[in-house]
Amino acid sequence: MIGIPLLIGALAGSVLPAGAAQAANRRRAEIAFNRFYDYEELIGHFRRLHEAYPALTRLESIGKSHEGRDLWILTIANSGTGPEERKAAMWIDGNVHGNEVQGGEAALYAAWYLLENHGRLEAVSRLVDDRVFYILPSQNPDGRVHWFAAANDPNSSRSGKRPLDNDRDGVADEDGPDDLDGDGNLCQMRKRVPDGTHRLDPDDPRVMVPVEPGKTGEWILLGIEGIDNDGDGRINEDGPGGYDLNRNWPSDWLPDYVQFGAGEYPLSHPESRAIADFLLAHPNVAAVQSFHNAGGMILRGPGAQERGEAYPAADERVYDRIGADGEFMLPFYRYMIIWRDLYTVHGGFVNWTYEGLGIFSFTNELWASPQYSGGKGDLDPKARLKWNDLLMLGEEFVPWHEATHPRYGAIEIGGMKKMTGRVPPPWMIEEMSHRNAAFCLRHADAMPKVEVEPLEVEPLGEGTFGVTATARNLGLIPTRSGRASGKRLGRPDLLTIAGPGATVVGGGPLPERFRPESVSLLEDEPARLVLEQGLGSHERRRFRWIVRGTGEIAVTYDAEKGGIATARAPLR
Amino acid sequence: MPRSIPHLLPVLALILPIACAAVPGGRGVDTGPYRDEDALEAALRSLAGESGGTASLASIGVSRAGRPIHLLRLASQGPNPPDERPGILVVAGLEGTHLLGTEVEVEAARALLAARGKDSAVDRLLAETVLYLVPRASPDAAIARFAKPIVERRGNLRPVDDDRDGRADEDGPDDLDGDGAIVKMRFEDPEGTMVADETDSRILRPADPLKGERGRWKLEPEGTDEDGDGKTNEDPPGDARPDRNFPQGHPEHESDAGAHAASEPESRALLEFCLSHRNVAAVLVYGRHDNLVQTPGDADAQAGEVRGLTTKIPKGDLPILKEVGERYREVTGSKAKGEKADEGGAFAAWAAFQFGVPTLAATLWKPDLENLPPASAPASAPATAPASAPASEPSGKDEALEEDRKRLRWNDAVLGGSGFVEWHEVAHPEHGRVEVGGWRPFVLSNPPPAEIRAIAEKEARFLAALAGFLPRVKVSEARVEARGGDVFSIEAAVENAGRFPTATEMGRRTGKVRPVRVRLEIPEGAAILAGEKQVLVPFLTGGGGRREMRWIVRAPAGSSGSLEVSTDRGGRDAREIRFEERTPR
Repeated sequence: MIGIPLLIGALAGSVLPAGAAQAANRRRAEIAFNRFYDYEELIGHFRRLHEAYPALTRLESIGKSHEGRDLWILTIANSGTGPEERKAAMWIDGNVHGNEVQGGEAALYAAWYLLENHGRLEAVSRLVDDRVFYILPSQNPDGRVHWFAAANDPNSSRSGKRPLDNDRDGVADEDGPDDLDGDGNLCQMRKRVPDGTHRLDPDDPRVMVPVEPGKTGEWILLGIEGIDNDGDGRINEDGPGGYDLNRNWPSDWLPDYVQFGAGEYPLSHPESRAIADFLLAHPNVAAVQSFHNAGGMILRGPGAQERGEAYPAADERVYDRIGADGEFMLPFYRYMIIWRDLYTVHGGFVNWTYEGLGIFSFTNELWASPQYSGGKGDLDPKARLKWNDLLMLGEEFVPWHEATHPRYGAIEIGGMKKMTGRVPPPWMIEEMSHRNAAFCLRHADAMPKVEVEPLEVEPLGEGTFGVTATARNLGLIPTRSGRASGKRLGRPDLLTIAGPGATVVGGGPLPERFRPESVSLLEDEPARLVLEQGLGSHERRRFRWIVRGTGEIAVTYDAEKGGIATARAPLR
Repeated sequence: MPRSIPHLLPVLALILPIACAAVPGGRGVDTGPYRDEDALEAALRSLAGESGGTASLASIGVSRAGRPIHLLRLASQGPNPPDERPGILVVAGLEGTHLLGTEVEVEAARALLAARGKDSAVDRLLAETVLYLVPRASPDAAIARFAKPIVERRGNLRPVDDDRDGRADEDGPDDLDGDGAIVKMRFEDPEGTMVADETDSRILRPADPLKGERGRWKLEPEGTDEDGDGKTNEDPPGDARPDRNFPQGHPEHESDAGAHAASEPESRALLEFCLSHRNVAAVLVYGRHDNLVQTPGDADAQAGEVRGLTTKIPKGDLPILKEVGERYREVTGSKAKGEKADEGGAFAAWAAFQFGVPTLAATLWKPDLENLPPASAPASAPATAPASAPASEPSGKDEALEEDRKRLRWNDAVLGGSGFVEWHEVAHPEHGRVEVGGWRPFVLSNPPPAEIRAIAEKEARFLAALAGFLPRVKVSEARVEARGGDVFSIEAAVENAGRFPTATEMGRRTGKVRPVRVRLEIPEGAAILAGEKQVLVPFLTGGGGRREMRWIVRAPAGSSGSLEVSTDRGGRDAREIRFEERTPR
C-alpha cells in the first residue's frame, strides 16, 4: 500500500523547488492512474517523465510498427554512478497483444514510481543508481491504437495490423466485424427464432441462458456484430491482422500450422525484430518482465513440455524464490509454468528471453476476475450485471436494442463493452499497477552485482607473492544463468589480474579455502580466466596466483549482466 | 516437355559459349572460370543485357558484409506475367565451399537463353513458367576463395566467439609458407596421437595402441596461436552459416548456426523472396545436399499421421521425389552423391517442410574415385613414403581412411598432383619447425574448371525437364445453356494439366498454398441465382486433376462474363462466357 500516500501528493499540484526542503508528498510529474490511456496519451506521459527527469532518463524510438508508429523506450539510468552498459538492467514491457492494454499503464507506473522515489526512498534510490531500467510500454502500438480508436470487444485487436488472409481466399482483411449500430462498440447479435438455443433469464432479461437439452428457447446468438463484407456467404471470417506477436520469437518457434499465429519465421514482424535487436545489443539486461492480461498469473517458461530440459534446477530455484514473493505481493495471482498450468506456447517472448538469452523472465497476466468480488469468488452473469449497475452505474453494458441485419433481418444487439472482463475497472488500475511495479522492483533487486573482496597478498620471499582474490555475486540471480552457461549464451565472465610492475607466474581457481596448494594451475593465460559458469546465486569464489614484482596489483571481475568490479592491493 | 529433350541436347551442346577460359599450365590449381564477386556480377549483367528482355537482374538482399545477393529471372513474353506463372527457384552458393553451383547456374542460364527459338521446349518453358536463379546466396563466404590466402569458409562474417574466451575472431589461419593457400600443418609432439599411413604416408591416421603403435604427430590447421591460449586457429573470422540458420530444425546455440533462427541477412533474404513469390512451385538447391542422385525411399517418408512439426517427407509426396530423381539421373547421368538432406536449419529443409514445395538438391560433382588407375607411387611423394603398396592387409579397415587413399590417387592421376600440397618443412614461432601440406582449399568440392561446361549443360536440360512437371491450371470447360427468361445455367470445369498437384501433401499441411480459386465474373445487370461467387478448391492433382462446378445466372441476353481460375503455384487461366439466347430444343 506504499502507493496510497503518494497519491495524496497528486492533489498538491505545483512544481517544487529542488532541495532538502522538498515536501515529501509533492511530485515532479503528476499522472492519474484511474483511467486508461491511448497510445499517444501514454507516450505523452513518458515524455513528461523524461522532461521532468532529464538527467535520469532517455526516451528513444527503437523501431517502427507495421503502420509506422514509433516503439518508444524509456531508459532510466543514473549516468553519475557509472556507465549504463556496465550495470545490470531490467526490461519491462506491456501490451504485446493490442487489447491487453493495462500493461502499458503498469509499465508507466513503474517508471513514474522509480523516478518519483529516487532520492526519497533508500531502496528505490539504490535501484535507480545501481541498475538500469528499459521500459517499453507497448510492444504493439498499432494494436493499442486500433483497440482504443475503433469499435472493438474485449478480445479483438489482439493482433498487429499487418494484413493476413485468414480465410485463404486470396484477399486479406476484407471481412472483419462491423459496428452495425455505430455506437463505438462491438457487441453480440441475437435473433428471435421459434427453435432457439437460449432463453432470457426471468430475473434479469439482459442475461442469455442456454436451454437444457431437449427444450427449445426463443433466441439464438449470432456472434459479434458484423456483415458479409466480401459476399462469400460468411461473416467476420477475415478481420484485421490475425496473428500473434507473442508467438514470433526464436526459441522453440514453430510454424503457423503447428503454432497458430506464429508468423512466417522468427522475428518476421517489424515490432518483434526491433525489440530483439535492442535486447541483443544490450547484453546487460538481466531481468525481463512482460505485462499481459488477464487471469492473475505470474508465468514463466517453459512454454512447451518438451522444453523442460531447458530449465536447469538451479535456475528453477531462483524462479521459485521470486515467484513466491510475487504471490505474496499480488493477491489473486498464482505463480505458474506456462505449458503446465496455462497452455502450450511455442515461440513466446519470455521463452526467448530466457531460453535464447539466458535472462530470468516473467509474464504477468494482470487482473483476475475474483477481484470483482474482492475475493469472494467469481460473479455469475447476473451478479456481474448487478455489479455493473451498482459500481459502474451501468457503464459496462450495452442494453439489447433492435437492429436490421442484411442477412439475418431483424436482430438485437447488446452485451458487454470492450473495457470489461480483461481489464480492471478504471478505479482499480492504480493498485494493480503498484503491485505489479513493486514485483518488478523485487525482481530487479535480485539481479546480479559483482564485487571483488579485499585482496589477500602473502609475501613468499624475494619479490614473489601469493595473491588470493574472492569474487562475489551480491544478487540472488547468478551472473550467468544455468541456461546461459549450458548453452553458451552471451559472453562468459572474465577475471583478470594485472599490475604495471608485476608478472603472473601461474594461478587459477582456488577450490579449497584453507589449502592454497589446491589452486588449479591453468596452462594458458593464467592472468585472464574465462568463467563460463560465472558466479551463482550469492556465490563467492576464490582464485589464487603466484605473482612476481612490485607495485600495485589489480583484480577485476567483469560480468556482462553483473557489472564490473576491481580490487587493488600493493605487492608487499 | 520430356519428349523434346533429345532435341534440346544437340542445341545446348552447340551454344554453350562458356568462359571455360584457358587453364593456365603448370602447377597449382588454376582459378579458371570460378568467378569472384565482380566477375559474377559482370557475367550476370551481360546475360541480362544480351537477353532481349528474357533475363532480368535484381537483388534479393545484401549479405552481412553488404554484398548484393543477385537474382537472375528468366521469363519470356507469355500469356501471364512472370510472377504469376509456376516458378522454379534455383539456389546455389549457400555454403562458401561450393563454388560450382554458382558457375553451373550462370552457364545453365546462358545455355537456356541461347536455345531460344531453336528448341520449342525451351521456348515453352520460358513462356509458361519462370526461373528464379540465385547463383550465390552467401557471397561473404564465397569470397574467401578469392582472397589471399585462400581459405575455405562456409559461413558469413558475423563475428562469433568460437572458443568462448570472450573475444571474437581473434585467432584465424596463417599462411606459414606464403604460398597463398591455407592447408594443414603437422609436427612431432610427445602428445601426438597420429601416425603416417603405411599405404600413403601423406595421410595421417590415428595410432592404434592395440597394435603397439604410438602416436607421433599432431595435425592442426596451418597457423599460429595468435591469442596465446595454447590453441591454433580456434577462432577464425566469422562465421554463421546461412544454410544452418533457417527455422526448420535450427541447431540453436551452435556456434555456426547464427544468433537465432533467421538471424542472418542471407537467410532472411531467401525467406522473404520465397514468401513474396508464392508462385514458386519447385525449389532446387545446388550444394552439400543431395536427394536427386540418392532418391529418398520409403524409410525417409513419414508413416501415418503426424502431429506437430513435420520433419519427414509425407508419404503422399514421395512419388514426386522418386520420379523427379529418376528423371534427373536419366537426364544428367550424375553420380555425385552429396550429404543426405537433413533438417539442421538448412534452406532446403525449410523449403520442403515449411514453404511446402517439392524441394530438390544436387551436389553436382564429386571426385570420381571409382575409375582410378591402379595405385602407384606418386611422383612427388616424399622420400619417406613406401615405394609402392597395394598393401596386402591395410590396417585401416576404416572406410574414411580408404576414401582418403583413393582421393590422393585421384589427385595424382587426374589432377597431376596439383590438388594436394606435399608436406614441406617451415619454421613455426611456437613449434620450431613444422611440416605444411594437405589438400588445397576448394579442390575436393569443386571440379577442375574444364569439367564445368558438361555439368552445366546437363543441368540446363534437367531444368527444362523439371519445368514440365510444374502444375498448370486451366479452364477446361465452360458450357452455357439458356434456360429461358434471361436465365442461364453454366457448367464448367477447371483442371491441372501439369504433373505436380497444385499443392503437395506437405503444401496442404503447411497451409502455405492457398486453395485454387475459381471466380465467376458476371456483367453489369446480371445476378448469380445459385452458386458461389468464388469457389475455393483445396487442390487439384496432377495429370488432369479436375473439378466441375455449376451456376445458375440471370444475365442480359448477349452479354458476357468470364470464368477465372487462379492459383498460387499453378498459374492462372480465364475463359470468356457468353450469355446468348437460343431456342431451347
